[in-house]
Amino acid sequence: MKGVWIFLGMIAFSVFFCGVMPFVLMPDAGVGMALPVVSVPGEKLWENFLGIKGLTITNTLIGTLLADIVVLAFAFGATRNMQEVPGRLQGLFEVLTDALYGLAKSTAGVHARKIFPLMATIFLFLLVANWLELVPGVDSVGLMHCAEEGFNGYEHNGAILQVDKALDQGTRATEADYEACHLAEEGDHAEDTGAAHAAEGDAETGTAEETEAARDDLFIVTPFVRAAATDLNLTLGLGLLAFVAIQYFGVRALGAGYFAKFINTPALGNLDKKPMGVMDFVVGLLEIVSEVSKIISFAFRLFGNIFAGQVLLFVMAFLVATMLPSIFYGLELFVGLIQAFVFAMLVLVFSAMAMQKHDHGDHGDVHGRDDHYE
Amino acid sequence: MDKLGINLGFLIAQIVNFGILFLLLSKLVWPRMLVMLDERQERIAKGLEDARSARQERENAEREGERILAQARIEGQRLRDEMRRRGEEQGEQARRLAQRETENFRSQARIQAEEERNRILADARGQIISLAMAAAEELIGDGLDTERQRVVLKKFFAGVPEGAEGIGEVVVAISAVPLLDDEIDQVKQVTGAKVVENKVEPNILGGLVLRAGDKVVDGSVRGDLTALSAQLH
Amino acid sequence: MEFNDSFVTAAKAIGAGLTMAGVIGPGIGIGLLVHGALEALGRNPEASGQITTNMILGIAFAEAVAIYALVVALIILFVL
Repeated sequence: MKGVWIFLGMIAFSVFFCGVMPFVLMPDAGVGMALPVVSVPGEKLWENFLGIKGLTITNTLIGTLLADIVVLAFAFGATRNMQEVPGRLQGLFEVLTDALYGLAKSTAGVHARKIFPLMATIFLFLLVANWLELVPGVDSVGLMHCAEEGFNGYEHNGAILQVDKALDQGTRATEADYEACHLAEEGDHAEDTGAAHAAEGDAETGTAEETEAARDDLFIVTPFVRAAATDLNLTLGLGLLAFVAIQYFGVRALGAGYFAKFINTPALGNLDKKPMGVMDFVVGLLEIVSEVSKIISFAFRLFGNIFAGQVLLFVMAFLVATMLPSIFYGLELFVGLIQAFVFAMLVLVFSAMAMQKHDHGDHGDVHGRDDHYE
Repeated sequence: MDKLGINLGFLIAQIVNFGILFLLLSKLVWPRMLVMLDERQERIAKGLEDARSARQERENAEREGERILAQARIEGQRLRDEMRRRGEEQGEQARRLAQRETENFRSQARIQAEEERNRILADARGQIISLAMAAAEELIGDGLDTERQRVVLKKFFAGVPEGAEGIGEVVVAISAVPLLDDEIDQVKQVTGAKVVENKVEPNILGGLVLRAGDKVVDGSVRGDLTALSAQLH
Repeated sequence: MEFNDSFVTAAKAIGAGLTMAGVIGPGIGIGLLVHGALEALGRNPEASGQITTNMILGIAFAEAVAIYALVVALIILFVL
């Protein structure tokens, strides 16, 4: 009986929040929801930040910094005052560290201590950065801007966008619209200093286009914070770092012999005895390609998953306002964890593989020796 | 590239950002954490080891206690049995001892009593015999006048006791009355002696005692009486 | 001009959609991977940790191909 009431309550809740609230109450009150902007690059929040020329702040950069702060606070908070019997924070951190270190030990064996800090840092940072996407307010609270060219714009009502039309009825902005809007906005800002200039600008554009100078329905929201991994700069940077780290670990463990994996001169050493050495050499060259493509693989796997997750959340939230997004929040929680884990795990595995004595050189040597004995 | 948002400035900024994060964490956080974990693991291992050894010790102690208890029980049982056995034994011994003592005592008493009786009887008999002898002597002494003496001597010669013949060259003939010459001759005849010396001793009451050196042939009344008395005893 | 733009937009959308057909392969691959992992798990439940780790790694590799398709689609939609 109790279950039935809970079920009915859930249905009523859903109907209210999915139907009545977004389609009746909010438009009547002049409140609407804007279709989020799907944009691959991080959106620019402030150009020439703090008056420094060329310093541009994007919302993904803010996401990165927030993730940094959370990670540092967590890590230092957990290790600042370490006790024999851990508190909650320290206990959580210890469980995490223990699990990661166990993984590193089981995969890399004796090299675990060298690889562990990088791998653990990547995991922790990416975990926080990915889960930041799920915090309410991220991806939704932001500045209002004139829509750039090619985006649907919306009317705005005071501090919020107003949507009381069907979602696809927004008009795509053109170059001219954007410029007009931008000028009008600047004019608004400039009204204190010189209203004349604004009027002049308005008049100019008005005459040029023979339409309303600044359209009212051109505005979009640029969120303050966006998940860090939806910016290719971060994922590509991490991919490059991981690549460099893998080569570094390989060289440190094997010395110059590490590069024999790529330029397999030992295989070319005794061609008359073993003509297939040419094949080994070419395969070694292919290894270079495969090694470099790891960067792309690292970068786009993370980016693709998190970006797709973000779009998925947008779409679900606009299909059904409540309940359904919660399920996808759960999915994204999982995806964020998995992607952080996969990135760290791949760094670990590739590093461990690079530090092992690779087969090609040894193989060639062994074969060569066998041939000699024959 | 620009439309994908990839921008050298941002790229470098992100790399530097992550580099700083990595340096901070790997210098200040991870080593401490790993040391902590290692220490804890060691301590846990040690704790487990301690607990195990303590448990083992306790078990050992329990087992030891059990063993001691069992031993004590067995020992107690043994002691009790021993005590009972010894007690029984001692009782038995005491009884036997007492019995034996009693027996001893009784037999001793009996022997003593018998001895006493024998002694008393012997005494009584001795006295009776002595009295009888004295009476007999008296009677014989009074009855044996010279006449009788001769009759007794004749009897002697009639049945000469064994050993008298060839007793020696010189024979001492003891008699209660002095011997007549024919009697001396008879002695010479009987014994074959050349010289016969007559000695008178009224003590022998009657008859004749022949003595040659260390050989004696008693044919006196006294001798008969003594023999009788010994027989009576 | 107007017609041309619409035509290009439509072509982009069709191209991006077709590109995403590239996730069929990884989909099958991931299915096979999980199939193998679950079978292994059923046979040998004690090795669950290692199997899960390796399964996730394998999925990541198979997924990489799907990610390439996604990247191409994104490039078609937003860059071209």
